[in-house]
Amino acid sequence: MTSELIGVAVSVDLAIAWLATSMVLLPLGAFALAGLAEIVGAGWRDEVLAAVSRALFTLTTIAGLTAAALFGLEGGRPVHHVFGRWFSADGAGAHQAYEVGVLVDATSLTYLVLTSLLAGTVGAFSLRYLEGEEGAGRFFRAMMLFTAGLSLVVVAESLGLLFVGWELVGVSSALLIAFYRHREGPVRHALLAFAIYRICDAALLASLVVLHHASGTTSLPAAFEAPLSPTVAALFGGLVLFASLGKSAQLPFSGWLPRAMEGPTPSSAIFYGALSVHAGAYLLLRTAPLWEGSTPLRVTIVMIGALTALLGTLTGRAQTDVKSGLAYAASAQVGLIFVEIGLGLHTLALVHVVGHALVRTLELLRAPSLLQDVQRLEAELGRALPRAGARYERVVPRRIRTWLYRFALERAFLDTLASRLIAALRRATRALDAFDRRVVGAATSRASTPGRGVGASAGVAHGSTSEPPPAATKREGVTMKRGGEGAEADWPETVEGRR
Amino acid sequence: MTQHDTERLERAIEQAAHLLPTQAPLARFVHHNPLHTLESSPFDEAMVEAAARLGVETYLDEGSYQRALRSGRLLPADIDATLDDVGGDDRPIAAGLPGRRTLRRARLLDVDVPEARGEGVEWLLSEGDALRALPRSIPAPTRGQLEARARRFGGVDTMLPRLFEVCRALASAHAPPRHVGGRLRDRILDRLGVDPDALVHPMLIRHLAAYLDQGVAYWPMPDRDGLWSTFQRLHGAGPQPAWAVSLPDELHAVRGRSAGEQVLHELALRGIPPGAWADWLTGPLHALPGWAGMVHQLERHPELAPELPPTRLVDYLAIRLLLDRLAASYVAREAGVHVSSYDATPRGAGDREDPRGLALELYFTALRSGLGPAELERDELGAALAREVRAFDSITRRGIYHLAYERRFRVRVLDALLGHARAERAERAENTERADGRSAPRHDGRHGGRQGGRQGGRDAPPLAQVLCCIDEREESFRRHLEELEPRVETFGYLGHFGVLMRYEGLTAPRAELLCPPDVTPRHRVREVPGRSTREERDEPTARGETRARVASARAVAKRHRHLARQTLVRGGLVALTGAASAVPLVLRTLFPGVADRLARVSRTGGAASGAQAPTRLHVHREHDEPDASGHLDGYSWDEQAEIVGDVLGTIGLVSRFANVVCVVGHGSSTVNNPHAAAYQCGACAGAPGGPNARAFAVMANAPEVRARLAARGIEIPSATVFVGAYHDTTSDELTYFDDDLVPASAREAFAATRRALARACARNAHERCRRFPDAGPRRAARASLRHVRARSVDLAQPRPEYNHATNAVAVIGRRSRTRGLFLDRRAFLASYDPSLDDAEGHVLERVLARVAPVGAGINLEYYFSRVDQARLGCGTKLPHNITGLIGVMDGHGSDLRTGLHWQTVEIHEPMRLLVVVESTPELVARILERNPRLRALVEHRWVLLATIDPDRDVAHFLERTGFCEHVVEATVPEVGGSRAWYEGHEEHLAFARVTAGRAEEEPGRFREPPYRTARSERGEEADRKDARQPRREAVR
Amino acid sequence: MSSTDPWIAIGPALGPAATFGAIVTLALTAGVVARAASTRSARWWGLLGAMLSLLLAILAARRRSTSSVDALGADALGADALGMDALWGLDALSAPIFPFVVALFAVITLAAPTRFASPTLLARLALASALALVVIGARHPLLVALAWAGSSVPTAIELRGRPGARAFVVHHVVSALFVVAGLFAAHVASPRLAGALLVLGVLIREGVVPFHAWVPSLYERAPLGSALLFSRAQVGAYLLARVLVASPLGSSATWGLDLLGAMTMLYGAALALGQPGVRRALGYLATSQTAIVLLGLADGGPIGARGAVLAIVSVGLAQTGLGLALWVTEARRGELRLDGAGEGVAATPALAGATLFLGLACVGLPGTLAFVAEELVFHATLEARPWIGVAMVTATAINGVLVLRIALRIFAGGVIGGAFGARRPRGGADLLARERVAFGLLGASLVTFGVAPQRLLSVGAEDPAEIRADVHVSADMSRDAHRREIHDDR
Repeated sequence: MTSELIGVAVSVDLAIAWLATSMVLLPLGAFALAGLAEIVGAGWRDEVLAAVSRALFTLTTIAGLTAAALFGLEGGRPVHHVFGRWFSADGAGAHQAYEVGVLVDATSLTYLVLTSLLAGTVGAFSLRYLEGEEGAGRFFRAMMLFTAGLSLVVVAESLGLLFVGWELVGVSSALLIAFYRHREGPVRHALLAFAIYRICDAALLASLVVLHHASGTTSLPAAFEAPLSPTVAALFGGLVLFASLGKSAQLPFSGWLPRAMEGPTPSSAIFYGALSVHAGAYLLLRTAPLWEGSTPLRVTIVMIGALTALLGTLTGRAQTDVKSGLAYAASAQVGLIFVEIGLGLHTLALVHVVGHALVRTLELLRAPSLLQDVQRLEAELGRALPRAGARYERVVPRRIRTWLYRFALERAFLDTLASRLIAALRRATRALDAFDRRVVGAATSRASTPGRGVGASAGVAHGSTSEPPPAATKREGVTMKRGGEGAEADWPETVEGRR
Repeated sequence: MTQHDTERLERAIEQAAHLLPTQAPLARFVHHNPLHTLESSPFDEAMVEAAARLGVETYLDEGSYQRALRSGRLLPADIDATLDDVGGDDRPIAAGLPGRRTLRRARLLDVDVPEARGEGVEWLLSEGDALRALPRSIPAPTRGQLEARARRFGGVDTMLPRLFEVCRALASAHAPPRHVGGRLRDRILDRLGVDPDALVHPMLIRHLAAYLDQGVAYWPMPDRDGLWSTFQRLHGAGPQPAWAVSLPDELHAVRGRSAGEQVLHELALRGIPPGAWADWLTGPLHALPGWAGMVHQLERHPELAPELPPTRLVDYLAIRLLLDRLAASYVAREAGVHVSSYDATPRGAGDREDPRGLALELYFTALRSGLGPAELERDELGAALAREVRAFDSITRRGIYHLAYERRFRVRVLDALLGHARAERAERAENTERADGRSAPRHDGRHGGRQGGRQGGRDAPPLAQVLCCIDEREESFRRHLEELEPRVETFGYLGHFGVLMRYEGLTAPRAELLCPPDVTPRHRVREVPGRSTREERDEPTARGETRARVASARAVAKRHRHLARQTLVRGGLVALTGAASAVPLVLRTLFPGVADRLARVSRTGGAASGAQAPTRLHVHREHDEPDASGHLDGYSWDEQAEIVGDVLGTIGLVSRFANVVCVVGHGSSTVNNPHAAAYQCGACAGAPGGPNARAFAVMANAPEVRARLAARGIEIPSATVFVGAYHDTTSDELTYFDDDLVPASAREAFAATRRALARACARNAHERCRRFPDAGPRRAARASLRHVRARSVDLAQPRPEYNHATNAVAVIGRRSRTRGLFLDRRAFLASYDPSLDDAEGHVLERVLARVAPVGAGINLEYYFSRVDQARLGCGTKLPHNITGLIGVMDGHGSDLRTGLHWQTVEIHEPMRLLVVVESTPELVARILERNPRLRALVEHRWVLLATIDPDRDVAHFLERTGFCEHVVEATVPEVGGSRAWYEGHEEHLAFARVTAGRAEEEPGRFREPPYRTARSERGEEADRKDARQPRREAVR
Repeated sequence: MSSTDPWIAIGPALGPAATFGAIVTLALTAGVVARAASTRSARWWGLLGAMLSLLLAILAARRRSTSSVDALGADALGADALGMDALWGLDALSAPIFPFVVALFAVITLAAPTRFASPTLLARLALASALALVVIGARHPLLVALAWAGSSVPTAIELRGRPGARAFVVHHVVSALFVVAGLFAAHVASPRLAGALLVLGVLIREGVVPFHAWVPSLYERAPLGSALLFSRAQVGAYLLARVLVASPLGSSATWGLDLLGAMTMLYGAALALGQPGVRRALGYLATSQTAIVLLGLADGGPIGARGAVLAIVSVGLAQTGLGLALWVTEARRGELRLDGAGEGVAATPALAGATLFLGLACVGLPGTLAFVAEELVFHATLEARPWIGVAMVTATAINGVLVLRIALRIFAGGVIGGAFGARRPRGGADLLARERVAFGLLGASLVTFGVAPQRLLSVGAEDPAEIRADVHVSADMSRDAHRREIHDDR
């Protein structure tokens, strides 16, 4: 090989690296610009936003495809490039630096192309779909942040950088679930999804630590060099698996997925049908060389995936709204992908991911067509659609049929269990809080109000010009007693002058 | 629990349920007034009652009216005129105070008055200038007066805080009582800020959705035998969420109890006396109005969901009340309060609203009236002012704004109609003069106007006559057709064209009722395969059978694609090969038009589009035996003649038949649109009206029918052929039925008509495009046609068309009254020829009785969906999620949303329908006297009525007090062609006279529009933007 | 600091003079503001003073003393000359924090709602920040001790007569006693005792569990602005850094601090999430996030110390911003609760957006400064003590949920169905211009430093290694010198 050829190869590598990076930087830049415009109070008009989004999605799609073409021409050699250091702190022998770089291999490039293609397509879809919608600006800003975050997850060279993208995906996802923020449901479900994300993110952060501890680096190519011991691999892999369960809606975290279908249809499609839901699978694929040595872990992955697939299928078939049905179908398919990953069939998993993402996106985008589809089918059939589900009625004995149906309808009771768990946690924190207040009480030697503290906090700040809020007269007929000593008291309405 | 109690309960439930939404499952969406149960009371009162009882909004928000006032859409003169009518007298309400009318007028015209409640008032006062300087809107004399008063206090900035304190004290004494609902949940929400319903609803909605599911779930709920009993069975055992752990025990305790008994038990637990049942039950029923309404609809009309077992509201209540009780006590327990009883409490006894909002209102009223603190402190004066201010609350203000808003539109409409009539008369006189100079007069005078007469010489029949639906979407289509081809006459009749039938399409799975929703058709019409009705009447051809079999197999296969959603194994296989679906995904998303053309080519195997399997309608009935379902198999000759004669007589087409009479039904093709049925023909109950047009043409072409018609005096020449057609209002495509039967003699005329109609479609598409935010106002006509076609197949298009969004007025009269008038697609146009009517107006009565209710249903549905998207409309369609094939939810597990979505109503100006009848007030009054249903609608003012005299250029409007003559305020502008008037405009436009379509020989007459509209365009644009995005209010 | 620095010519006394000047300016500002006729004029005077003071503070930070400084200032106590140089001046540790405190005062003054911010309140804020500056900028232990004792007085006055005031007073009197005693002990007795006393006093001031009880009640009862200034200036954390950097703890003490820190983080996070009232939740959030500083400092390594200083600044700015956003929302709407549905996102989108962003910035949204701070602390801790990392990660996860919950539950979710109905506004417009500026500046600084943190990491130290080497070594040396002096005296 001549030096000239080497030079070309290096520059092609660099081009791929920069193209991959541009898929992060372009949306991030657009997001920053749009956000800045919003902050200074000069929010973009719809047309500007549309133009920017259109340009952005076109550019990212081109970047993704070009990178893929170059990568193919190069013969599929992984490209690892470190751009530099974000920040560092050192002294007294210790050194901590945060490096920024990309690692592009076949897996990440497939994801990258998928991301650019779907983000571009769904972006184009959304430009028409959200035309004139209140909050279209927010939608596209969140989409930009999401695209940037997911691209970063895909191309990041180190687990630390991947975590940054992972967080951005979580935040943008929660914001899009709560897109219709004036209603209660989206807000509640966004909080639920975000809580699950955060719990799983903690695991990712922990896995990062384990890796750093074991290999002295979070850079993936460097870590790949030195295989982990089986125990560390199991620990690391377990944490990564846990982190991926949330985003990919695997058991026991599959409950949030149907609830996330609160935003505009295209956001549901791209997040919960296509890209976000496969992020967990990607994380596993990306880190596979590190944990593959641990057989127990692989068995666990297969089991979780299989269980999710089974329950998803059962549950999905009892759902009566189209988006919940699609959500469980997606969750089940991702379960299968987990099984494939656990079995080591990485290429199959990758093909499955691509196929599933595309099919599901189209299905979700067409979800509002269900009624018309049924009518058209009936027209073609010339009669009403035959009743489905007879299979279950035949196979399952009557005695447990009701129970099984409710099991499916209530989503395997996961929500029920979660509600019990949350209630228990709430009770625990409340007890702690009461204890805490008693500490204040002890310190101040004044009786503090037990319980929830309505009395303690009911007062609202009032300015010097204000008077107490409308007198809260006791209502006739509503006798509500405080718990505890059983002393009857009206609802406490103390008003304090606090400013 | 006695029989007596149960019956009483049933009555109470029925009474409480009468305000629930009455929307049918979405596939059978029919436009109706969502508050139609209130139609028995006058509109204004009904609006207040609905607002109070259901908590719905019944007018636009004040900001919208104030913006209209700023932009000139609403004029101060309208407010004056409205106040004259409903504003009360102007006697001083107390010594030293102005009169009520003066106060109200000043309040309504003060568009900058800030509004706030509670803490917001404190913030406004502390951060803004309200307590430092006099508002800018105060006129100079009052300002001087206030400054003089302020001197005593040492300056304005000292007096104003003092004044506000006085107002605060007054307001505290006069604050209106606070309303908290009667449910325990309402009181808990009020006091704790936590909503127990948030716990109940997920479980309840899931159960309802599963029970009512019409086929989304692959595995439907087993053993559906009633909501209550299935609920008992399903929840009798097994884990429950934290708030409902005791549910299985509760259910165990009530085992064997019927739903009615359970409801009675719950009512007794809460201590609700039987007299208060109906009132109290409104609360729990309206907690989830959509679902409860659907249960109620299915209880009353089980035929809407034929496969569903009995569905009863009492079952729903039994579940609801039980769950409500569990959730409320759980929330209270968690909050550390003990709920000792579930009793009903008198509403908010002694409790008052936060007075600060009222204080602010009072403060600005005092300033506008030039009153200082000293004046207000005078006892009777302050109290009187406070009472007046309290009485003039938001809904009262909005009611007046609304009347004024409607008045401005009405004045413009009547001005335009009268101005047009005058101009036409003048022109006619001029023409007659000129013609007299040359030859004999061209007009027979009876048909009035200029239709057809110009080109063909004396009394020459026109090239073609086109009969359309009255739908306001056809207004522009008809106008463009007439502009393009002056030799065409158009008529309007309800889109079912008198053929009220049960239609059994060849490929339709079930029969459709193509008639207004309140009619039960007695006849059925079948579509049969084959070339000739007579020959191959009943035997399906072998080809048809094969087709059906193939279709069946395909459908069963597809079923899994669409419904079972490829969950596991099959899904895995599909997904593995799923990369291929990138092609349709990208194509359909990015290039919907191309994808559609490809799909059409692949469907028809490359043949020209529109090639359909030849079928015929089986219209004529041979025997009088009704079939199993009680329908007659077609119409007898007499019945057909009756239908055709009735329609032709009504629209005034009884002579001068052209060679081609096109009967155009309409419908709409959209994709990805759960509300597709709402886009169809309203007169056909939300179905495409093509078959009606087709059947009508078949009848009118039958020699037997024509013979009978001739006997009635309607002679249809044998050269005349009726052709049924179907207009797709979304894609602006026309399809012709049985056009192979057009005789050779009419071929040429038919071809010419077809060309004209096709061009009119293109122009119509062009005009429609001006409204679409993503189409851009300037584009070529051909491109527009492509654009609207792409819209109709675009998955990403939430606004395939604007549907009835622009409806506002209905004109019943000769087309000559409106021909050549640009009505901006806002008018239902029903043809009615008063000169053919009898002295008592029986024809008019029939037309009115058919048009007014249909028009009012559409209009009021739009009205309420627009003014309250949250409760009466279904919000933006973007997050809609089809559930159970019966309706849509917002995202995951919300209430079933009823009404229209935001995308169809965003450009709607909510106004009651103004029906303008070409008749005399006296005749209309007599008709109303005769027809109680019409009278109720008109007298309670759910539609507004005006007349325009057939012979003179005067108009009357039916005020509350009776008919009043309309005073013309402005002349109608004139423009060369429709396009010149609308091009480049997105907003509603003023009506204008279009001189094209009669003046090709006089090109010099083209004029630039003398004025657009009184309101500024920017203002209107701002209005639309504002309506979509709440404005950021500036602080004063 | 390179030789091209334009200030170099003005002389070595400039740093101490600027330090002193910044403090005096703020103190004078307090006096002027207290006399203002209205809140408006008080605000503008306060801002003017703050700007001046900020300029001086930045100057002081740039001209940080080149002489080595004893962390406890013990050398100065024995010094004969009480010149400007010996009394005032910043070093590597205090240089980033000194201007930060002035900035906090400025931004609170700018955003404080007119309705709640009387001239008296603003004056007390100025006074409190001036006293906090003394703690940071003074070198003389006596000054530090006096200012430490005094700095809680303005806040105590705000709380006067309200429930929780007593707890506050009890805690801070004890804390002041410990610190005074500690500083005294450093002079006369063993450094170990001094360290223990100081650390104890500081832990009370920082509201570390189990000395946290006053924090939520302060947030709940006091005007939010003064609560924010008092708790987010984190004078205690600064002093702790001083103490720990100067005399690293033994392993058992580190272990104890770790335990306290981890407990505080988890306990605060758990309780914050369970609160129905937003102010108390904010208080617990503050408690929880403060512990990051503690964890960063506990191991005594330079990276942890860097992270801790960054955490003081980033968490301080972000949480002050969040608190201010909630304060101005309270001014518009009254008490805010987290257990019901919110409202107003349509009417006040920028306010809602600011709340969300600043909230996420508190918990280390990537791209903001807190991410960098947490990353550093995290790495510093984890190398040696992974279980601390688990606690920290868990607490941060919970806090993340909390801030999203705050933003959504306050502003969103109140309507069933669509939002297009004509709902009457409760009143209260979106961000006013000055609020917009305040939140904009906070957000901009968090993002700027978050994206390019290296500059802040190097403030006051040309070589990052210096922070530890410089302060620590010099402290040891001076302590030795001091001991020698004491011996000599005897």
